[in-house]
Amino acid sequence: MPPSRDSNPFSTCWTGTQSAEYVVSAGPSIDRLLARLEQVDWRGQILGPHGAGKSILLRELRNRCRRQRVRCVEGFEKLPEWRRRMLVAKWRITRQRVVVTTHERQLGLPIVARVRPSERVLESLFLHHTVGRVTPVSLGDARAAYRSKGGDLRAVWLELHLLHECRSRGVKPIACTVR
Amino acid sequence: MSTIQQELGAEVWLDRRGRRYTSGETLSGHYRLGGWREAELQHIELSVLWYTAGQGEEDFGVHDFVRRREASLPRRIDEQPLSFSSTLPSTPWSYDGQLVKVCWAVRLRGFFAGSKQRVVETAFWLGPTAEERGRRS
Repeated sequence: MPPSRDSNPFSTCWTGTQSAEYVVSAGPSIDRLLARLEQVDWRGQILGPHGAGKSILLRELRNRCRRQRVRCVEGFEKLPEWRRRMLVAKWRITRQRVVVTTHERQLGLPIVARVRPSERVLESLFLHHTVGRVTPVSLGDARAAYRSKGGDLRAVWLELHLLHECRSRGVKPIACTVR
Repeated sequence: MSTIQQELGAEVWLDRRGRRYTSGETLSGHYRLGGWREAELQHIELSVLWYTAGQGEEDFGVHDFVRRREASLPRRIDEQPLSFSSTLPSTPWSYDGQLVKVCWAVRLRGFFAGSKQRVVETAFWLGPTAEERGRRS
């Protein structure tokens, strides 16, 4: 078979932030998030660890708020602290509508959503990605990868991607933590 | 007829069994819209393209592209498969790696009322000619 995106259900084109589904059990529904943003004058932060689904939730929010001027900032914690403080102050003064994603709590911006990965979320996503697709990777492999990667779903999909490739080819997965 | 992929009755297939092509060859095939015609189809795009798939950032390039409005498409009742052909470029060659793949495909995308889209795709191999292979080895 020629290579194609359908060759591996864990390719970034399926599991990346541009295409992956947001699972409500990881955090609030988009409607609850919108209601919360109304309460806090449309300035807030989505808080959660790496690979929890913050960017996917932000993408959903962006899709729902296309006609409103909402600034969306990903990875806010990557900016130096002085820059973060300056931006938060500037947004407050200019009444800028803004939602940021961050790993660590940022002072001055109310928390509008906490996104937490869980095995339930993993199971739901695993079934979503593998429905109608043949893969030698099992849900048990996904659970094992989830534990070994400390709940980082992005790292889990990369691991399962490699595992799928190795098992499909009958090659030993040297770099995988799941054998 | 080498392969058929279907969604809502639309189909794309290539004429060559095995779907292996080399640089400069002509790829030819057919497509049929089938059930798409009853789903408020507005226009279609047929493209011959390559893309990367795997881990990390994705890249793509469109080699050939045709767009047709609904009015220029045949009615379903008398629909015959529509043909397409394209002369393939020299690169990039298909690559089936563990971390990244370079994929070539003919992609048919239908645009429907309400901003909905449907896609059917048929992958194929693009590789070097015998002469190019000899030069590399």
